[in-house]
Amino acid sequence: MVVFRLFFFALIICLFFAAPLRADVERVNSPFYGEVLFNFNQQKFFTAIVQLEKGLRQGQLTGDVTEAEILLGSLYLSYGLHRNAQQIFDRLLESSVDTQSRDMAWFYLAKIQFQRGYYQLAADHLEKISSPLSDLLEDDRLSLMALSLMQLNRSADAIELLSQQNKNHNNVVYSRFNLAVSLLKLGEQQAALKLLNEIATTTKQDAETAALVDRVNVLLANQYLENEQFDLAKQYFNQVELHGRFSSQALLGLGWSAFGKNEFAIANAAWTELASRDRSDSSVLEAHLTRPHLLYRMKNYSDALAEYKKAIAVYQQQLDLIEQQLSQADFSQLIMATVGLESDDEIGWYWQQDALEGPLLSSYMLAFVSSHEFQESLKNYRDLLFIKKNLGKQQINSLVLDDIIDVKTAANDELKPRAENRLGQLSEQDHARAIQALADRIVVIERDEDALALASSTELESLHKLRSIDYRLAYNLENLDDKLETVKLVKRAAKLQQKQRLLDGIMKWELMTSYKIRLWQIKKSLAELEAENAASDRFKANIQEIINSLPQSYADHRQRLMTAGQRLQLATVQVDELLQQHDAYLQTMLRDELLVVKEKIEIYRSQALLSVAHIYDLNLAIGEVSQ
Amino acid sequence: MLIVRLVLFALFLTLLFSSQIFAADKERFQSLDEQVESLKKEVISINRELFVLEEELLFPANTQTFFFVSMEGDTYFDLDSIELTIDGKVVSNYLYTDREVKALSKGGVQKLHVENLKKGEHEVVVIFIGTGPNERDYRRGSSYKFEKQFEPKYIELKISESQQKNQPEFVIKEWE
Repeated sequence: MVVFRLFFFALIICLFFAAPLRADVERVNSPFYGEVLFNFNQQKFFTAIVQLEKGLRQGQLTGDVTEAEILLGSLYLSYGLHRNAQQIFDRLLESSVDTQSRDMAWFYLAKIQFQRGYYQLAADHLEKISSPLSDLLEDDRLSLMALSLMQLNRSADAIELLSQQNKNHNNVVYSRFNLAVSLLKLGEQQAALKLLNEIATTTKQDAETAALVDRVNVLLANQYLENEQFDLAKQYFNQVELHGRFSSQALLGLGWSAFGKNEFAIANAAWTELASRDRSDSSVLEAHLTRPHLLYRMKNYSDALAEYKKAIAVYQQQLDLIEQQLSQADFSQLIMATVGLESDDEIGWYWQQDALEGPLLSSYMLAFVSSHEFQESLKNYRDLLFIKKNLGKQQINSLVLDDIIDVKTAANDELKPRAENRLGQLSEQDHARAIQALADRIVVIERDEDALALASSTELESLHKLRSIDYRLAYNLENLDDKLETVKLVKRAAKLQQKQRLLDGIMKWELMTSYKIRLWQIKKSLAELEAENAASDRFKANIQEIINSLPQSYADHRQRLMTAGQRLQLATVQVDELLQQHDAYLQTMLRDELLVVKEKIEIYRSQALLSVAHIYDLNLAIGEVSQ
Repeated sequence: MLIVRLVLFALFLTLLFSSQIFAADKERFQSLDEQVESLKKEVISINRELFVLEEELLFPANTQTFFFVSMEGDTYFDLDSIELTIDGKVVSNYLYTDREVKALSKGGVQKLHVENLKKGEHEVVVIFIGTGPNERDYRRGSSYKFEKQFEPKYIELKISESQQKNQPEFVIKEWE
């Protein structure tokens, strides 16, 4: 039962950390922050971190920077960057952030400490949270606190805490399971059994819940079996799905329950079914030993002997298989097949049932592969494989970027003379000098109040025509010969001169009266001209600056790219080394575990051999024994 | 029950042996774990630097125009794909996975496309394709004209729901 308890406890911890971090965000201020959430929601933690770091550095995340920092910290945590996460939360706590943000920082810091095994620190941090967290995180806080307390041997406090959890949440069944485990640890079997009973009768809503309920049924039944309450044990073993993941354990237990009640037929049926299953399952291996023992108890010595011999053969076969695996040069291919990372998928890895399915992971290694150490190591291995692929992609990407810089530099070299030539042409048109001359002229006009200077070209032309008429009239009058005609003409000319002078006067009067308006208008036009000329100068200066700075800018880009390229190469070497080390580490772990399994099967085989010898010694079997 | 006890004792020994192995390997694992952590941080930093470089080289700030897709909670629309046309040219035809649609409905925002656009007026046409109410195929177009200045532009393609009409709504607007 110890194995079961430890396995389930490991499972709970894994499930607890498997729960993705939650972001209760409905509408984001910055689209870039939303983009981070888009990846976060898909558990693409790596991409989300890159985007969030970039957004924070470039000031693209408008709105609450503290919220973004908390998200970054939680992303670091999800991606296994504990030290970076701790730095962020420590910094947040040192700054004057609001209470809610401080509480979040304490929560995530506690999570870090728990993962590092500093349970007292984790509990201390959690106690500093001043108000309840958001609904779902509050549930996580209670679970984390309870797990920390359980590690500190304060199970009673843990039980008290877990009872506060919101029973409406989907994960409440796990919390209640936690509670039951705490009770078992405390030795309060009655209370634990009561709770496990409640869970065991939970409606199996989905596959995940159904699997958990099966686990509970098996755990509960084994408790009753240990207490020799065989009827109750049978009842709970019978509730387990016949073809579910826990059916083999249930069949084994069912056999023992029936055996305890001397219901040998039932025990035989259960163990016969179990013995026909996959031999890599530890329950199946055990059934090969229990079934002949049952036959022995039924005094069917001949069949018992035959079954023991069969069991010895099965154990030998399994030992040969293990020996074969142990003799393999390496387990790399098996590990790769288990990790199963053929695509470039970066979806966050966390413990799940599927992770147990693979060529390495036969059922008798279930407890081992679900252990925290193995899972963490496998997770690191998978992360390293993703990093290796990412670095490969980025190396290609950096080559493309290098080509882009080449193309841009060449284009700039070609365009630069043309652009500078055109700018030069524009600069030759000295608008500023013309504008200044105009401004000087306006000053003179204003000083002299020269209204005529502000006349339009049409007005000037009209005035010119009137003066011309005046001159011509005067000339003609001076040069007349005919005295009689002269009198008539003088009269007409006088009338015309009068009319001309009247018109001239009207025009000048109009010019005088509109002088101020015209002066204001021309000054306004001058100001606009000056502003436009200044804008044009700025624009030209900008273009000149761009033309001047582009080569340097491309050189800077190339330098940055070169630095990134060097870092890429270094990281590629590191990732290869670390992959090798992890591979070796995983192989050692697997090899050691296989040796443990081998030893276990050898014990089974020895037991079978002893039983065979026992039957021979007692000379109880007929026929074959006598021979 | 003798066999049960024997088996349990064997299992206990096995467990004890396993835990000793774990303890011995723990230090080795921690050392490797720390190295992996450092490498991850370095690779993130390299990716960020190359990401910034790429953006600077391909999409200068004065021409860059972003097109983001957002979703307001659960809608009456199951998104399959989006076709994006800018100034009469199809620039993106994106097919969505279930995981992406879920990520959008939980407040995520997808950067669908980035384009370099000159200063002046431009038109974007978006066709949203998917399944609407009553499991019927749904294809809805929406267009929007906008003025591009020298600053970066952010255009939002938003999918929401009309409670009154029990129909999905598609809006294109500048990000506020």
